[in-house]
Amino acid sequence: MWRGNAWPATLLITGMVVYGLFVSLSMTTWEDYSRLFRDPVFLESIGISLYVAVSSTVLSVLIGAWLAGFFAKQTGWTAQVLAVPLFLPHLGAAYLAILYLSDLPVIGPHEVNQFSIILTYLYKEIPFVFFYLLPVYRRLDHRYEELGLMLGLSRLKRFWHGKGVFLLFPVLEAAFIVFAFTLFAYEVPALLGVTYPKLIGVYTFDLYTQGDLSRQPEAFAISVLLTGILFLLLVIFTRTIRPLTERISKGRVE
Amino acid sequence: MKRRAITAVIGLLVLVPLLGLIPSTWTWNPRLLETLTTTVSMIAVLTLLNHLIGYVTGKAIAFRAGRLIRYMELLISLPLFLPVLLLSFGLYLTWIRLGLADQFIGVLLVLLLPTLPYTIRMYTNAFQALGEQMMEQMVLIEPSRLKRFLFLTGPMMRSAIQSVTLLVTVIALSQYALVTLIGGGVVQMIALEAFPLYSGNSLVAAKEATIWLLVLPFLIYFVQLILLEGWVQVVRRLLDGRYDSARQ
Repeated sequence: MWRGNAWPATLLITGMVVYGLFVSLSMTTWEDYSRLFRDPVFLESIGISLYVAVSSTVLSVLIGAWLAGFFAKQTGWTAQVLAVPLFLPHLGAAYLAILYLSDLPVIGPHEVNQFSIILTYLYKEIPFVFFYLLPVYRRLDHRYEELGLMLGLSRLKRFWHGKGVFLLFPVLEAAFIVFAFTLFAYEVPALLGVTYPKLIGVYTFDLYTQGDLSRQPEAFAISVLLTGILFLLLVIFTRTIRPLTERISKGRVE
Repeated sequence: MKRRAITAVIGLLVLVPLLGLIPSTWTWNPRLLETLTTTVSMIAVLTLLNHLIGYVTGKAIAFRAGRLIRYMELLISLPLFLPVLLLSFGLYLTWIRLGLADQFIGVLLVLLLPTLPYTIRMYTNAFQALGEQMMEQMVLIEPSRLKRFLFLTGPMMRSAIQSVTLLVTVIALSQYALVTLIGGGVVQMIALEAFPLYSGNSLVAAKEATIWLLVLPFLIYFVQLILLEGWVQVVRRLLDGRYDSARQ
């Protein structure tokens, strides 16, 4: 049996990622980075972006995972209904927010609390998390928990050994994907966000495209800095969580 | 009872907002229509590439063992965890040098970044669900590679094929910033026309754009559904009893 070939995809993706990063790096000097850390607009933008990304991620993962667990056995109509937002691009979801939330006082678009952005993300990301985790929940073997019951383990330990070990990595992975997406997205915050402080994706993109050329190195510096930080987080994440769950779940027949 | 209540709440929250998209009057915005050719051909080529690369790579990740393939898997997922838009700043300069900027193929290559990792994941899952034993069984049944794909592997991976096309379509349709940057306004995808409409004053025009954004994925999904259904029907007819040793 031919076992496939991962080289073309690896070279293509890694090539583009590494080369994009390399070019950005070559366009910046140390001065650009130190200027970034002294730039209050940038720091404020990071703060507000983190607020939006963290709250969207936590809410969509909690709700999506809970729904996936609840409907794992039989989905019925719920799966069909939850699939509908998957057909709607993020731009379309942003339009729905403009259409319905515009006249509302607190949660409307262009409010400092950014509730409309978070709600738009929830509309799109809860179904994503749901479908990401549904197969994981379906593969769970209930006999582990029964074994735990027989051995007289506490409720918490039973959950951890029966479900937690198998869920931890996929749940965190889904969270990471949603987090990275909501942190750097352009379209939704550009349409629904306030003009100051802008979310980081909008801020950087505008720096790169609209501002005069003298501010482009700043955009490149942000690109390098944030990609680097996220890459570091990813390495820490895979290094620590994967071995932990793999060690415990090893020997399990898929 | 609780189950039903939750389903009702989800249905309400998900479907009711879509009611606002039902058109009261319909106009054909010529600017949107002009972008359709580029949009649809971009999606078609992008989807095809995704299927091709995704199939080959997903199979490798599912059925190869060892440290190397695990590292490759991680490298392939990088665009899921990294800011693709920010990385494209650097890529844009390179594309200018290579003559790919403001070109169809340049945008196509960059659009592979946010789509391909998902595609590969879905194909990997599909191959893992099929399982190695099943794959080897199929080699015994049908030695010809092409026939094996047409009769067995393809139809069995139908749901993965469907989801990949849907996801690629939706992600590609939503990219405004990436297409503006790399395409330089020359490569006109529908998002480029829709986006300014949303920040403008005309809700009617914005609504029409949104309907296109929702209808296109549905349309592509259903065309594909019919094609796949036809495929399965043809396979059923062709295979009718041929491998059934009990009937001889």
